[in-house]
Amino acid sequence: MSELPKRLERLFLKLDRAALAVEQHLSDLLFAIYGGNLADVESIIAADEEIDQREVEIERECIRLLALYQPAASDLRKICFAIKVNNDLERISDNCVSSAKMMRILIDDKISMNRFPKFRVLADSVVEAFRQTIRLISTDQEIQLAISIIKNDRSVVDKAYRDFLQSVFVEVEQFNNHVDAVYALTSIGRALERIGDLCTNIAEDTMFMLTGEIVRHSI
Amino acid sequence: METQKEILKHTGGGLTLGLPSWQQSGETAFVVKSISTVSPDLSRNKKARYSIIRSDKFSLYYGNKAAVNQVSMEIETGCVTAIIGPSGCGKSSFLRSINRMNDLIPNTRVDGSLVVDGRNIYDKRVDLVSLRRRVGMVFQRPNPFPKSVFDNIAYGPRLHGVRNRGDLNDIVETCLKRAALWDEVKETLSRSALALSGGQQQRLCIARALATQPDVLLMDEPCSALDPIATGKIEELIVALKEQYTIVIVTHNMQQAARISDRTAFFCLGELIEYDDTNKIFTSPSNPQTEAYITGRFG
Repeated sequence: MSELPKRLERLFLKLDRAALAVEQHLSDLLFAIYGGNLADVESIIAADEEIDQREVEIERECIRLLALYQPAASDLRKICFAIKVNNDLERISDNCVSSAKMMRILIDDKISMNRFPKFRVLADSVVEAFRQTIRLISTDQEIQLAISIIKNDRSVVDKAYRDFLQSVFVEVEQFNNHVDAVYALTSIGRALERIGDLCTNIAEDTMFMLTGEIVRHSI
Repeated sequence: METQKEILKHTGGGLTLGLPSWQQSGETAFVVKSISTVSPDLSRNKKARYSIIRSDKFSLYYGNKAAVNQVSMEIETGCVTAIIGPSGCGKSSFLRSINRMNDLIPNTRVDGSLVVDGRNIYDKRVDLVSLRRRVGMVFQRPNPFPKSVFDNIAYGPRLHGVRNRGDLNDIVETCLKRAALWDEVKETLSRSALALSGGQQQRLCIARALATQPDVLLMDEPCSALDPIATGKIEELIVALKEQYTIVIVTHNMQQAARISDRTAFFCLGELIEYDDTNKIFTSPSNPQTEAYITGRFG
């Protein structure tokens, strides 16, 4: 019996911790968005560094395992999964950072996100999707859960994103002098929608890890 | 009667990769005694892939013990088939059965059928010399004859009646080129083969196996005694040869099987557990036993 199973277990533990850190990042972002407090927003941007470090560390470990053990079958699929999910988590975090940067503009223009009830619907749907996705990484690696995340993204998150955009465009006249604010609002909406997409990617990668089938363009 | 040289001329003096097969197909295949007596089949390499080796519930017993147990599988032309499995799983026994090497071991008996190109090779009428000419074998350790490089390659053709020096020269050059050894030994063909390095000796053994124009090349862990550089050369060679020869390789090195083979068979306790495309076996095998073996959890 090689050392690989133990090291894979430790790798997944690290991945799980990284996912929890990103979840915290997302939830802090929403807190900053609703609160409209510049200090909170700046702390989101600062927190990215730690997440980047985790990403690099996990990637190094994946490369080490590939080089040292030349894994095959489920071991190989697990490491491929870890590499991809690690990257997706980092991008989710990047989307949080870019949203935080856009919040600087909104705070500057004194525009509160609370005037858009549709934003909360979008944010809630993305937070829920990400929570389910974390279950995929840590505890419940199930095909059914993965499929429900993929379907949920299309039916709930995408719709919430469109509704939010519409609500921004309805009020666009009131932002006559703030083109940058409209840009910031739509960018934040887009960033959240991207986070939903990245959750879908993780769900698809989970299906690959479990079955060996690449389902990315077929579900 | 068409001589070896004339046939080589047909194929471009041995410079083309597609040497013809010397024998006729089907029933007459193994009664051919001399490689210079039969017209070449120039269309050989254009043929669509087909199953050249078919085993049907084939078993091999050493005394009462079944080393190979009811194995049914088909091996296609034009591809490399790897056989993997833990020690004692019957993979080498099965490989050696394909050219009846196990006949040399006392108290062996076989059951079921093992067909090579339409003919059951355990049929009593099969001529063993012809069979082994068509089904060549390369062993774990390089085993050149204690003769010159030239004589090693020419040994088989001479045995099969090729006497003309010019013909032999052509054969030696062609086979050494095909085994990617020509450039390294062309100046020293008369030196002892034992003076070559291990990797060169193994390529010499492959060239020697090619000299009798086999259809099938059996390789029993051909790289296990070689360093990584020599192993790389043999692997490249195997991939280059697969269009002309059906190659069956037994290997303990699973990365090697993954790198060079198109199909992989997993044997365990004498039985064929799983046989599928190599990509499938190494990324998502269907059988849990295969999974456990290739992830190193058993075996």
